[in-house]
Amino acid sequence: MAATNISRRGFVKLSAFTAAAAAMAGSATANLMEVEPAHAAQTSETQKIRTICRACLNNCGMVAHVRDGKVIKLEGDPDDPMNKGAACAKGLAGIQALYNPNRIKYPMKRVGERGSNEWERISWDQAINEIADVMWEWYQKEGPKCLVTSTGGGGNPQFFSPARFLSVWGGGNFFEPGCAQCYLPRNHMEFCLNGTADTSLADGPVTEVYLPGILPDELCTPTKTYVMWGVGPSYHGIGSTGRVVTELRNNGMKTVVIDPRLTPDAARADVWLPIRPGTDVALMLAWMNYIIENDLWAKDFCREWTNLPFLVHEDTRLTYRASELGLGSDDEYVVWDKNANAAVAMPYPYPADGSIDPEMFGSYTLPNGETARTAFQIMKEHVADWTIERAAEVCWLDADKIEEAINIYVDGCPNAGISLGVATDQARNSAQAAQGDAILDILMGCIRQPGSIVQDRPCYVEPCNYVVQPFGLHHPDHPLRMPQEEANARLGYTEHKGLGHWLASHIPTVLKAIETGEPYRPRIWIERSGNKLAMIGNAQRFYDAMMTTELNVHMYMHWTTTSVCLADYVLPTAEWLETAYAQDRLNTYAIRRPCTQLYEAVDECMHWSWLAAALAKRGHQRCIDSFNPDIAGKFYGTYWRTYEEYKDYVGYFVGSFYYGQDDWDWATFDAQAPSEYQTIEEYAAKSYNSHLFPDEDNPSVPAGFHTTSRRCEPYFDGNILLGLTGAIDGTGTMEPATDVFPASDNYNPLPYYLEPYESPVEGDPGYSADYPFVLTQGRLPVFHHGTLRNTPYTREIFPYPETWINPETAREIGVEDGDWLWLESRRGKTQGRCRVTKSVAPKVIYQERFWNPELLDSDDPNRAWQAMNINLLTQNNDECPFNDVYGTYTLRGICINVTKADSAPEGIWIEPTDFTPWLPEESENTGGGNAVYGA
Amino acid sequence: MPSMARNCLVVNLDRCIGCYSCEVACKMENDVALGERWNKVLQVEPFGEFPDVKTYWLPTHCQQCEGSPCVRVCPTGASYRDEETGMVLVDKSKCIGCRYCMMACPYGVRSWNEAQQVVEKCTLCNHLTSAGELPACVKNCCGTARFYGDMDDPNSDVSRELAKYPAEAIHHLPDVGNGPVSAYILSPKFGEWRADDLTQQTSKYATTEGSVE
Repeated sequence: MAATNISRRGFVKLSAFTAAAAAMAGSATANLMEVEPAHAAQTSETQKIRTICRACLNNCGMVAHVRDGKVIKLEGDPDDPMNKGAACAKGLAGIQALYNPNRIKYPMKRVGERGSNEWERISWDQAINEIADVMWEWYQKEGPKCLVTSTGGGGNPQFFSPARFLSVWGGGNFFEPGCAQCYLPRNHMEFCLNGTADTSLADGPVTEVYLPGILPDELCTPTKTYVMWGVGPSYHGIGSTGRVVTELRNNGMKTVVIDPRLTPDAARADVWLPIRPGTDVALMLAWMNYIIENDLWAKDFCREWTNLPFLVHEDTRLTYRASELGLGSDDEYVVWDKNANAAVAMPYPYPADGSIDPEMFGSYTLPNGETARTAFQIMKEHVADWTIERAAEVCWLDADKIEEAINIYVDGCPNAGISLGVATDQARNSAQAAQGDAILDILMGCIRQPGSIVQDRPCYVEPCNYVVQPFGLHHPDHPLRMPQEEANARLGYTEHKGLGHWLASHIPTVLKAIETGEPYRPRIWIERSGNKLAMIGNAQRFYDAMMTTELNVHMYMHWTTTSVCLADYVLPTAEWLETAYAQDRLNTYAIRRPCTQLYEAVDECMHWSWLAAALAKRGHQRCIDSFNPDIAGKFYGTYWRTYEEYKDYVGYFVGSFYYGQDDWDWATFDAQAPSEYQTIEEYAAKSYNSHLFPDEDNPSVPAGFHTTSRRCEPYFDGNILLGLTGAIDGTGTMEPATDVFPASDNYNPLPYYLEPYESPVEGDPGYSADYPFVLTQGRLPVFHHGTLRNTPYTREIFPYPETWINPETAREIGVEDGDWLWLESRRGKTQGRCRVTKSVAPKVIYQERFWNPELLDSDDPNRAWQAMNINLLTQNNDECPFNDVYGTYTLRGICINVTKADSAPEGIWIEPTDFTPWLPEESENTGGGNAVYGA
Repeated sequence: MPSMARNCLVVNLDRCIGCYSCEVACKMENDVALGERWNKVLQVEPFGEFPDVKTYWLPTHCQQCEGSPCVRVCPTGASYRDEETGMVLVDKSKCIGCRYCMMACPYGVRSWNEAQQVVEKCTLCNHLTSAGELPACVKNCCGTARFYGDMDDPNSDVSRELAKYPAEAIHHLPDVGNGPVSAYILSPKFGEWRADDLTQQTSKYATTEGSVE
């Protein structure tokens, strides 16, 4: 990254905070981990520390008020360019999470049967060494495949740290309940097609919407139409995303919201399409058809900057290379030229002199006698049956409203765009929905234009926490990269190669391996997130499998179902207010400053480091190497022996990537953060029409897009290569991979619709009168994934999961507002409480994920994940085909029955005062620094 | 007699996104007990014929009434209007816990402090506002929907926000002669103002006649 200047303004604004931060960094109350004397000084003055939140993955700027080492108040940072002082309920609940009596305070070891909830306190030294002993034993017996690691999106994770550990360990499997079910399909596939970025508002790449009001008006084109497809900014990254969408909407931006649920954003939309859960791709195909049939697509952009005019081989479905037909070189494609009335090579870039004028549609006879259609012709025929009327019938929508929505979108183009949310990632049509989303914005030329949603502003440290990276992620020859034969052996990877983009394995295949020992049996599970039993589909299957492993280790901040019901060891982990991290916020770089430090909790990067250190002592060569700077290298950093070493790595990473400075440590970063690493003008301009900028390596041609053809590839034949070769970035060559991957089924270059496997449509093969309703889920504004069910001020707002039922359906079932219900699918049943509301369509049921921390200490702790958990109903078995590319299982759009229950689940807390035991408690001395491993 | 200020909150419901941030910010700032809310966010249940339904969120809090019934009924003078700021406040040292004011308040926005055996309510965060800061609910609001200031000062945040909207978009909670000062903005395009026929069913929802059936 090019060196940039730190603006004067950034320094001046920060000076007041910097002194406070220097005094506070690493400070502690008396009972905490060992700290350097210089940092342990206490003062009764209240200090304001600028930091960043991690109650969700938006990392909003926050100001923490700290007195005597205690965080006494949180508020939004008014100088943060994205949240501008806003702070949501989740962020503000940070204090109640930090001082929660349910914190895991020191390492503990199970003493009773697994799941009996009987524990003894042990030292870090004992914990790390006993765990390492088991790992080393199985490693020597069976090799690296014995290990499974996992993480999750909720609760201050270092997202890639488990995969980093596996790269050192040398193999094994990593999974995350999101991934194929959250963000991976969009994050990977949309980039493959548009060569630019995905469209997730929650996950970070949609920065354009933040520019109005910051970028000078004369340089700024506010987004004219924003299509939020399964996106609920008011309920996810609220302080940033909810705030900014509200701002633009109230300043005249048109919005279309496609969501089964009447969210606040749906309620304010110009058109709300309450789509039947799981049918999104059908609607996308109809939008594509309408845009093609009505000739609404962006003519110049599609001709010059997409692969739509390229001729396609009918058998292989790959676009022709000019060399195949003797028309030109390997890196040229073939079009039918109107001028020559012949197939000709299409060079890069598109000839500005108009010497080639390609046909966009049609079927042509090639010099070798083969017949070939253009990619656009294939797309046109592919979607031709998808009329608005057909989509209306399939999606349970009004045809006129669909047409109105498309026209609002088209009217705003190209200063417009579509964001695709998590909903489509949670059904078996996940990859296809991501393709459809990308195709629509490409057809309309909404790529890298002012106001468009898709922008070319790479952020290297995305909200998913990428500072800590797996060794060799960007360097195939790195000695600590996971060996290729082990990477190819990841469970489910052969069938679902898109998982490779996140180095992930396929959860149902991991479970099957644990259940059957085929193709090998994972023995040890090390998990760092909240509640796998509440967040993974078909929770009972997950529980049954994980009860049979040799060793389960749980790293987390709070006692959850994973720790109580499944773990053999629990390792205390730091809350966000205790950790150090970094995050880009538009053109500025923000810092998470540790504000305090409680108990024996440490950042998970230390857990993994200490495990590596213990394995190194036992002779694990790759672990030994991971501490050797000459082998690990500066880019990835060695594993860390102390938190100070880790922090210095964060400082180095930010300095070298963003500020062009190779000599930063934490102190350098801390002294000036947050600050601007670019001007906002530079930040905005680096994306607009950046495909026309001179190419870095060859300035005589434009840079183009980040794809094989350097054009957008709405006809994504790279999907075929992905299946054949595992070339996950879509930019591979046409040659098969040298290291032989077993071939997957060919993935389709174009999106196609799959009716949900369990269908609420009578007459469909997936219909059952026993399960006549269709279930969807979706966020609440006070919880992030499985978090914050034990913070009193958030839980009292939503003490139980509401079951939303349309009045017509409620009458049909015979239930009323406030009734306790049973929800039942083919896999299990659980409870919820009825809310009769017109916020959902007839036959559509909404209920959010839930678990009950108050039941952990009951006679049957398993009820904490069983009483009111819709993931007992969701699906992850082979009975329903997974998504081809990513292996996505179905969380939304399953079929259920609803009946009235006699009562609420026994023992659950509902009344606000029930949550009194969870109010903040004094953090008593647990032993602190002396007990820390290696200290 | 010098005219006192009319400090209050104005909530722009066009911008309120039902996130409950104001509720939690208020409780954190003022250490409000579990189950009590000085500021509660109610959703007006969607009304109309599906899918052409409307809904909005309605944060309710002390409306700083001109003829505040809570002050009138208080036997000890604990509930009073501050001369300088115009704020309706509770002097806890004078409160005898009779709770007449809670019964008199038409909006149910007074809270019982079980621990101290006194009545409490929104103070417009006067410990912050007197120091030139904004109330916690305003400062942290995720929709930039909440405004604080003096209705009589045309340059205050509340006056300037209200000035952006036509009369038909400006509303008050039902006035039974108490003269609420606080105001709400709801533009007709986002929904019909339904406060007059609201019935609060649960702690989170209010229904209008016919909104559910």
